[in-house]
Amino acid sequence: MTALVPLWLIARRELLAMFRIPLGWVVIALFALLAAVAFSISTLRPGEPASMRAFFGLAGGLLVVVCPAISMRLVSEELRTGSAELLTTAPVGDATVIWGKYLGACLFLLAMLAPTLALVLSLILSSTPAPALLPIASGYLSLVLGGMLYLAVGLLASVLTHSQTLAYLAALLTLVGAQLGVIAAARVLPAEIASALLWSAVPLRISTLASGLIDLRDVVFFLGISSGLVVLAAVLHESRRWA
Amino acid sequence: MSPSPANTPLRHGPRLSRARRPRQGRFSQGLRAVITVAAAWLAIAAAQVIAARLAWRLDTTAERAHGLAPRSAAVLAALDAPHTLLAVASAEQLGPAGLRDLTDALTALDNASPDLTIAFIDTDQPAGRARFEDQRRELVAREASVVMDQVGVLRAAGQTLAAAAASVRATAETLAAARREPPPAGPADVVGLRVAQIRVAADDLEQAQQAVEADLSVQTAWASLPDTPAAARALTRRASRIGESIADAADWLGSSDPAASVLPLDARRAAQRALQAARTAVADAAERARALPTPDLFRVGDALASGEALVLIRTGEPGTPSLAAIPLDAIAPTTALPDGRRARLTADLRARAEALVITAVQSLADDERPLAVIVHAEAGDGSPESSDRIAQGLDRALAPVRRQLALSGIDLQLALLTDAEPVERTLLPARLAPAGTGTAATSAATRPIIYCLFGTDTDSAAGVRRAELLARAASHLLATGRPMLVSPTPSAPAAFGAADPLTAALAPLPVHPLTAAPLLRREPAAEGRFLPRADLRPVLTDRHPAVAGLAGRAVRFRWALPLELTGDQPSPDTPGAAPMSTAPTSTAPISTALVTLPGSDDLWAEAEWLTLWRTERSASPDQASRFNAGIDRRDDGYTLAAAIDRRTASPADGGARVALVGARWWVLDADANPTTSPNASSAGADTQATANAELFESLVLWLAGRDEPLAASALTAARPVITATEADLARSRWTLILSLPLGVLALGLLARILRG
Repeated sequence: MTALVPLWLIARRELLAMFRIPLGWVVIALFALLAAVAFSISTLRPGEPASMRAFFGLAGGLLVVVCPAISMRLVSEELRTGSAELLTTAPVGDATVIWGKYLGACLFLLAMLAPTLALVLSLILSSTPAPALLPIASGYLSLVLGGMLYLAVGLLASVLTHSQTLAYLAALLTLVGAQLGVIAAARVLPAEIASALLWSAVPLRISTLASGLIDLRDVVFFLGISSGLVVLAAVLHESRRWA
Repeated sequence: MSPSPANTPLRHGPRLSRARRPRQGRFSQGLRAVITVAAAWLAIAAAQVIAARLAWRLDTTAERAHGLAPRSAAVLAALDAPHTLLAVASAEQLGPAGLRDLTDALTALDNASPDLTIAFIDTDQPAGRARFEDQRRELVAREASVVMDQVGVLRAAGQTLAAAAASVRATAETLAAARREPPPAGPADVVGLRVAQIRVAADDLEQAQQAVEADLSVQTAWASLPDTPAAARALTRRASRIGESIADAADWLGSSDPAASVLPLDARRAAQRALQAARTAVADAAERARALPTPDLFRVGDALASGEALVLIRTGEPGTPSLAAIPLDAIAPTTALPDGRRARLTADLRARAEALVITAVQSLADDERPLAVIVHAEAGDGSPESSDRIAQGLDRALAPVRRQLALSGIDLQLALLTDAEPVERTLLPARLAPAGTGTAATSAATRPIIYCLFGTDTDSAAGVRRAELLARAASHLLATGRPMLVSPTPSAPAAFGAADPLTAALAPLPVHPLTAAPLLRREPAAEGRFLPRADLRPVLTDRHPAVAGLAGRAVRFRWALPLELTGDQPSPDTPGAAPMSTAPTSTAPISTALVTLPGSDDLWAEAEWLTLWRTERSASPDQASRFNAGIDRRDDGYTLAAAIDRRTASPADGGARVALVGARWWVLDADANPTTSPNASSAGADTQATANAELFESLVLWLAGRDEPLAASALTAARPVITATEADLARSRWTLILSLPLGVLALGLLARILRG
């Protein structure tokens, strides 16, 4: 447990740092605005099924844009300002630092999603009968898991460069390119290969979770790939000491 | 540019470190890093493999949309023969999500039964196309014997027509020679005209026999086999028309018409007997053709021709139900994208695939192939040509429904009621033995016949006469305990306070359609009046096995009529119960609401509908229709369809069952076919599918004695719907859009102030 204390301290510091600057609040407000618009357009229409599935699809797309903005400063900022050198003198390992920062970003993601719970309330008040909450919870799980994966990609990009802008663009292009590439390749390849390739299609997995199906494979996929990317980021960050 | 003090340590730090470290140390550090990363990713891969093996899934949806419905699992568990399901589709057109959903559905079906083998054939690949062609050829070869047996039956029926033609011609010549006096000139020569009529009938019979041969010489493009269902329909239509003409002549010979007295009595009687015998032979030929079930190969013909379908093959003896197909369009309809390309709409693909596959499996498991007979009254000028034209028109209009019903093994036929023919002759027996020879005739099963009566417009004398004919048919069917589906329509006589013939015929039933006052909804329009063609979307209940599989889905009704249920009704506290399939406790008829519509201030049964209908809106823009409490009727809710179990006949044949649907021609393609549109904000598409065709199918199957006609699927569950008004939703939208971001920013500001 004591090993987790520094991890939590770093995560807490990272989370508070995001709320200490106006940008953090602006990002949340912007996401809330876009989410409310997406919800209004996709879901809140008379006679439509009272389901947030369409909203989760759109919100998943929004996260592709927003998550790199959250993660771009995680390490790049430290590298740019030189505070990374100070961190290396701290009595914690590089992996703990990276995992702590990642955990802080994930907590910020949760804080960013929290205001959208008002959308659920709005849906419940507008529908008859009230929609089941479990599928909605599953949809939020898809956003959290998808967001964690996107943050991990952003973290990796942030480790690789001093420039926040470059980190943002690299993460964004990687995410968009990977998603479009997988789906485009699946369209032209034979069904057997396409099925295998779709294993790595993040939007499809988000869509599965958003449809109310929690598949252990999807959960393991998101957590596994995210962890792998964070491990890679930690190793790359550590390599600055000895490379 | 000199480096800034801020980044100097960063840029120089690593270089200094590198300089201090020996090469060996860097190598071991690097090796350790590579091992760490490799170990992490191997662990991730292992976790993924374990997760795949465990295949643990939690379906959080209320309707269990991601698993097989219990009914589906039960149907698959009860398979009594090996089945193969070939999914023939273009993976590219399905798209990644569609492909995943289809694979998911097929895998679930595959896992549910060892007797079901599933294969996916990707028609994008040359190998897939070749495999599908081989499969198609194999199926055609397997089923060809059934088709050729039907060819034999139709040729025999054609020979019967030819023989009848010879008899009728001989009768005509006998009559011509038997007249006592020289014929008067001109139209006064009634005998001459009748002889000419009989000669024409003989000519028509000969032509009908030749037409049979011509029809059988036309082969389908996809199977190179004669299109026997089309030939049978044509033969039935022609024979019925000619039979009416012969019957008319025979009736005249037996009548007291003074014009007939120029013929010797014995000659008249002999000719009448000959014509009646010929008419019976023609009717028998028509009935033999009508009784032919559509061969399985033709049921799946469209799907096989399209090359995109789920083809279900059951291993069994030839002649038994063995082949079904679901066109991919029924599962994932195609739509035009804004850029002109076409794409498949895959919303609800998984649930639709499951429901349709299970329905197909059920249809193969049941040897009985119900025959739905659309009973139509003569609407033309009364001539045989007019009847023929009407029959062909209805045939075309019902084509989509015919294809839909074929998937469940239901054949659709038309019966035209005319003044010339007693309804008893036009209507078939309650059950029909399959006609034919060879393997087609080995099946001992008989075909239950379901009569479907659709009300007609009654704003003209001809319309009223048609309604009277339908009423006669309904009375006859009720009296003989035949299963019947009736769709009454708004009635002009009823609007004027007179009795509607069809409603009067239905009086013995514990349900009363308000034919004098259809439901109309006031809708805001520039002209300030409501639309007479109210397009209502009521919802199917889950209280009856006939529609339990469709509960929660919406149908589309025009000119809907409220039904008053007057008999015993099932207990309202047993939703989802199957009252008709339980043992009856009394013999009193039980009526159950199938389709209901909640009431509202803007919806009522309008007594002045005829005036509104006849008056052009543009001609009376100031005519604002209002609810008139004296003559109109407004309720909290309306029943628009009901099932009645009269419990007076043997439950085995379902003969006591009657269903009423208060809507006008609700199974025609315009209302029954799904409309689809791309949805940019969701997974890709919305399918605005009405459940009209499914309702018709379910009712026919229930009337045929099947209590669980459609597999319950994800589509069956009642879904929560947004019921708030547009004004309330607009307020909610703006509240959310403005308050959420502003609230977050205000919170941030507050936090900043508190922090100082």
